[in-house]
Amino acid sequence: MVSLDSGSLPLHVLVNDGPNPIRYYTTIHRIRQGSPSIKAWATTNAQFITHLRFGLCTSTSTTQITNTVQIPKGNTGYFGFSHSNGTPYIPQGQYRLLGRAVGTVIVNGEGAYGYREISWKGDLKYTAY
Amino acid sequence: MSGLTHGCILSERHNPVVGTNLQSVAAVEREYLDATANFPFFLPPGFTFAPRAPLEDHEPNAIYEPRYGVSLALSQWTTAVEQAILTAGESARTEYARDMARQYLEATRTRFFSEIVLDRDDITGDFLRAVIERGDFSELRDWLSASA
Repeated sequence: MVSLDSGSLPLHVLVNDGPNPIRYYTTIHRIRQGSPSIKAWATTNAQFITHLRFGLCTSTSTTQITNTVQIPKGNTGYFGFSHSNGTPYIPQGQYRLLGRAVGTVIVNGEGAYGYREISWKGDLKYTAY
Repeated sequence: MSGLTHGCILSERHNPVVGTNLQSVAAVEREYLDATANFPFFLPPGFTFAPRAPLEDHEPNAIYEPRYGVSLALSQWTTAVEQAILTAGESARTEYARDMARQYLEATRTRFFSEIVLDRDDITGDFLRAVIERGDFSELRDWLSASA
């Protein structure tokens, strides 16, 4: 198993009535052909967060987003391009991680208007396996 | 409409970086220009950095980890120097290619590089050592074609 540590950056998210701003991580991951896939998981106690959505983009392309995964909080998601025997597959190359939180703000039983900042410390880890 | 009572919240809508250590598009662009002006490694012949940060995303509210602008500069450089090594190798300038490969390998050992490029399988070291030690460009060629 190859660990790809995304760093210990806490995720402070702004929760609104739609997706949060997409967030880009600085690091570039070079992944060898044969690294079968990447597993991502995230947990949070933030009640407003319903999903975390992560993606990989190729770092040499200015536009291509290669794969995304949406993870219900506390659960696990998998990246991958193609599936062979049920296993996601990522070709050799270099990638960046990107992510965003998806949530809904409920104030006094009603949907709120605008952004609301919460301090959210979730674990974001991903591992090639 | 509760716009007046949510005035403070509305102002945050226009500045989603408030309260985080992430940074805005404008900050990344400034960081990029500074990185390209003070880049610590050799530049391959004919290479110049893009005049503006080549951001992947065009959402105005996108936010970035610190040093993202540096990472964009480094990413351009790695692609350029890898291509320059391969071009030199394919035009029978093997010693010149080896010299660039040695400098590149040296750069990968710096904190500046290794904090941004995470290469746990040492793919970069493998294709550079193949060039330096054996004059073999096939691994580098494969890498460039895979990550194009």
